[in-house]
Amino acid sequence: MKPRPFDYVRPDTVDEAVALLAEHGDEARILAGGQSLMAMMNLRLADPAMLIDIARIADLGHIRDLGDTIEVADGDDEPAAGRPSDADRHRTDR
Amino acid sequence: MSQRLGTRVLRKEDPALLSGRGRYADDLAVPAGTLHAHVIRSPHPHADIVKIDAADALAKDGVWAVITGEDVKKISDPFLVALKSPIHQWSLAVDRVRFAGEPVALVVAESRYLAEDAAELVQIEYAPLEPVIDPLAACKPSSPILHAEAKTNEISVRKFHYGDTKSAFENADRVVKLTVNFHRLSFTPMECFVAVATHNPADHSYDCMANFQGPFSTHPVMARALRVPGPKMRLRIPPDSGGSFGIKLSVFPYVVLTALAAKITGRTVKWVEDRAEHLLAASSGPNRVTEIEAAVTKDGKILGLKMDQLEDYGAFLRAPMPGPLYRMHGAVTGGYDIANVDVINRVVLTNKMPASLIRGFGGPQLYLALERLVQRIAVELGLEHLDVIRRNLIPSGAFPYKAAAGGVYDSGDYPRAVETAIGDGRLEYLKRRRDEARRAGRKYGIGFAVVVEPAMSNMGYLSTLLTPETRDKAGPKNGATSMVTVNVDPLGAVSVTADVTVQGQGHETVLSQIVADRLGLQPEDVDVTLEMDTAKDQWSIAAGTYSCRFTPGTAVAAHMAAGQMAEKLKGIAAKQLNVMADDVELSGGKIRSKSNPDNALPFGRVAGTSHWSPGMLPEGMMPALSETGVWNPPELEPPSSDDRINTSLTYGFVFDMCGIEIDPVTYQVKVDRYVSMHDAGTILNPLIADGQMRGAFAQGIAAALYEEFVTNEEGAFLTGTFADYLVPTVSEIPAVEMLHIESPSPFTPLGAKGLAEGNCMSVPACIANAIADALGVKDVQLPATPRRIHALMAQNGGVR
Repeated sequence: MKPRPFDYVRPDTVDEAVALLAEHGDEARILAGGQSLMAMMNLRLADPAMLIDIARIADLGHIRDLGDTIEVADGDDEPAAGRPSDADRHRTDR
Repeated sequence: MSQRLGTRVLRKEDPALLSGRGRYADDLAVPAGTLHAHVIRSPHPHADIVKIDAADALAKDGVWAVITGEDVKKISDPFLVALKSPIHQWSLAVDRVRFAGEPVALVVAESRYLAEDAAELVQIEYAPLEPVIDPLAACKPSSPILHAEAKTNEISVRKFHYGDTKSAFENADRVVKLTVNFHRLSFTPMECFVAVATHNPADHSYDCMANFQGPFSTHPVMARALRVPGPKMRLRIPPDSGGSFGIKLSVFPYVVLTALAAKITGRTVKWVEDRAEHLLAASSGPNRVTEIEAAVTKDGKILGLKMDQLEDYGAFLRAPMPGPLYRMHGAVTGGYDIANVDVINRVVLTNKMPASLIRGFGGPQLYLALERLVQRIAVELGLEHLDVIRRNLIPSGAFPYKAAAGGVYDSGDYPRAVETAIGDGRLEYLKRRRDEARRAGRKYGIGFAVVVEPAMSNMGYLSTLLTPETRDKAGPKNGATSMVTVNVDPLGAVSVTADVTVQGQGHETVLSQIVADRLGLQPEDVDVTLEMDTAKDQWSIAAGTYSCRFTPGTAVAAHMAAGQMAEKLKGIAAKQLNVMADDVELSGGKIRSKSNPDNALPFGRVAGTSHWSPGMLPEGMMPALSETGVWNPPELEPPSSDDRINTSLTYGFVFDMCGIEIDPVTYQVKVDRYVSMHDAGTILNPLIADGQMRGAFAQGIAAALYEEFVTNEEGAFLTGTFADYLVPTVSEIPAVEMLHIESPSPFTPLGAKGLAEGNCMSVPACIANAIADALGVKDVQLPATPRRIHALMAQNGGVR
């Protein structure tokens, strides 16, 4: 249960990610958390040539206090541990 | 708070495990240059291997070897088993594959990734053969034969007669019959198999590390396969384990395989099993078909019993199989006083993964058949199930009780256990719930199960498989040895090693309680190290952690070793305190005169004498402070010439009672209330005992309602992921009320019996009986999934 060889890129911005997708097309897949994709790759049922890891794109990773709700955006896999955010304030405020 | 034996001492193991500091097999450092192995497995359940072409794989950078059955056949011997038959198994398939998932080749490369990439380039040509999956079909003359030299798939048939069963059946008012299938399942540990091996060509030795669990009778099997004497196959076992439940015995063929790969490549080789491999091919409990019948009087007394047990071990018999068929043999009559019994034990091979050790080990199969039969007797005679149980239970005051097939039940009070369990309104509650549900048109049933839970197996039980004549020729086999060593260092620090493997039970805690008690210390004063090294630790063939041997076995050896140490320290102290040795006691970290407690020395000071000034020791005393306790109870005799065998040292008692309801929409079996009464003798640590029993209960529920390995008729394995093989989580496990009475065992100095398997044995039977009661059906196939319940109800016109 190990994947076949693949290229891995971790863009910093949405523009870079979009450019990589445009360049590599169907050969590339977006990696956010990997809960489904990595299992498929380990079983060699999925076989992308490139993974574009969007986990560290700052624009995508945020937790926002919208008043009555908290918005947790995809692409942020370690909000509480990595970045003090609105969520922490939310907790202390109320 | 008191830390003595019998109190709820917190587990010493937990701070490390809960803070991520466990030291598991895959975490341990390996030498630089270690190679990594990947196993190529058969996609076919039955096929001849026509050709293996590894040229493309070997041409890849970083690939060191592609090892096949032909290679291992040249440098190793087949694995030994107790049953003499012309069946040969090596660590890789030779010429033929016999189950989907069987190891066919081993790719050894500089990383697991490279090994798996190279595996895709190995061309293997198979010529498929017809498989046989069903055990009854496999016994027919028309069946495909797995091992041509054996000429049959039914490789062992033994018939046993105890008492006068023929007359019992002739004199019966009625005969009640049932056929019961027990399914295949495993208890999947969180950590899969790991094996690491190094070969030293200078002295032709192997140094292996694996998360092997024992029994260590398998060590000679591995060494023989590697063609070396035991000491040249050193096996080390890590200090922590991510669970075992019997399963990790079955790492042993892979220990041999990695050792051979190390010899072939000249490098250390490591293999880590992944979950897909584990589910497909690691180990399964054996499935069993039991034809069971009872000769009964009209008031429900069982006069005689006949059982024909056909057990399916899959493609190969592996040591110590067919254990599950024989481990319960002395106790085949369970908790009932039945003098006349005929048993037929049959072993069959089919194209499925080999069966082996699993928690409960033969008990779930036996009790599902026996306890379903008792429920049927009640139904057919128009009696209450509980009354049939009461009429047949071994009476109070009958202990030690000699069961028909040879089990010597050490202690108990079965009627009291049953009456206590149903008391305090517990049975009334279930009856009321059943009445209410039935009045409302819902399906509600009450189940009972009676289980005698054996612990610490007689090493001779498996020889019951051989005829008395063959046994005479081979020499008697019996006993079960336990060994523990207690050391005291120059400053009085105490350390302990023992012949168990760690699986998470809490042995470290209980051993430290036992030793501390004997030495007048606290458990935290005693360090216990349980990683194993066959080259340096004390062990016997019985060593390991299985069949509940810790409490009646290793715990006693610890009690003995610490007792020997206490006597020695008393002798040393007596001279220094100027009193007689029998006036000395060890208490509160001091060694002192009983008659004058102020005349005392610190424990460490007395211990130091032996190390620093051996000349001051009493005359004739040897200086070292290292004592090994060796325990081998005399009750474990070899099988008698009339095939009676006391299969275990202690026999606990479990009585379960439950109410279940069938969900009218989902057809799920929902447990309304579950009560489990245990008599495990003296309890050494109630906290740990409770954890063990709740774990067994969860796995009993798993077997009853969720877990099943499914192989279809074509031999394809259909439960290869956790999406298909349903392991219940905490939300699926119902609440259970655990009750206790204590009848100390007279056969061990601690009075304690095993208790960690009983609910694996009782829960499937109890739930099946409750379903039979709810639906008024005779045949209940487990696991009782919603689909099966729906089918049962459709048959009986109960589906809306």
